[in-house]
Amino acid sequence: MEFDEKSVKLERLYALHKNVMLYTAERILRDYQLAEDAVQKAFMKVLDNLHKIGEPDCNKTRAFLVIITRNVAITMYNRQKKQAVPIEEIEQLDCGEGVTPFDLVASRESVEEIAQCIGRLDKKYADVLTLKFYYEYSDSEIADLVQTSPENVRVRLHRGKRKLTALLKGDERFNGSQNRR
Amino acid sequence: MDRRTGDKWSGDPLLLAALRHYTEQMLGEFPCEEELSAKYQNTPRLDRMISELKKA
Repeated sequence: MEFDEKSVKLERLYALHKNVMLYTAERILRDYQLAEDAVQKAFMKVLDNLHKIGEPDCNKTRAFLVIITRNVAITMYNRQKKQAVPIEEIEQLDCGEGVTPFDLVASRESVEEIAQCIGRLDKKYADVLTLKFYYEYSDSEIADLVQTSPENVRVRLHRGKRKLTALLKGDERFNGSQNRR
Repeated sequence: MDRRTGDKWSGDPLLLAALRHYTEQMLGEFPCEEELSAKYQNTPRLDRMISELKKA
């Protein structure tokens, strides 16, 4: 991507989504100047991934910028509070990788139900699942975007899948044979 | 399924639709753009920082 093209795209993204990014960061950091710093850091990450961002004026891009800003702001908040960023222990990534809970559901209404279950997940799991399966980023790219290690991303993905599966299986409608494909 | 990694969650149409729905819902929880624009109409410091970023 040419320098001018990059510059124009960044400017457009900034004009369109600056406000929602500031709002996201300020809600976490409770400080306007820190929120501005978070948005700047988020844009530094955006700059590295500009080629992967499609149409600037769409909800998919807007949600991506919100997720990146949220993670930058949370990292800043943790550092400010001198809390170590939680390092989750590495666990064996086995069980259930070959089967998806979506095999059990097929109806149109199920999309809404699954989305609600994703919304009930801790944001750190929902964010990596979204970056991985909706935005199609690799584990190491996600690690850079959410400021953690690729190992931690893999742990979060594994746990996120497990928790989402449990949530879906906990819903009676997903257990019955009527919804099987 | 992602043929490279064998991950069956990759490309699942139901999961993709649900993630899209989830992100739309997430955006729906924000105040409207008009309200946000009024709140953040004057951001000279951030404008400067982003302008520097573009030049870098």
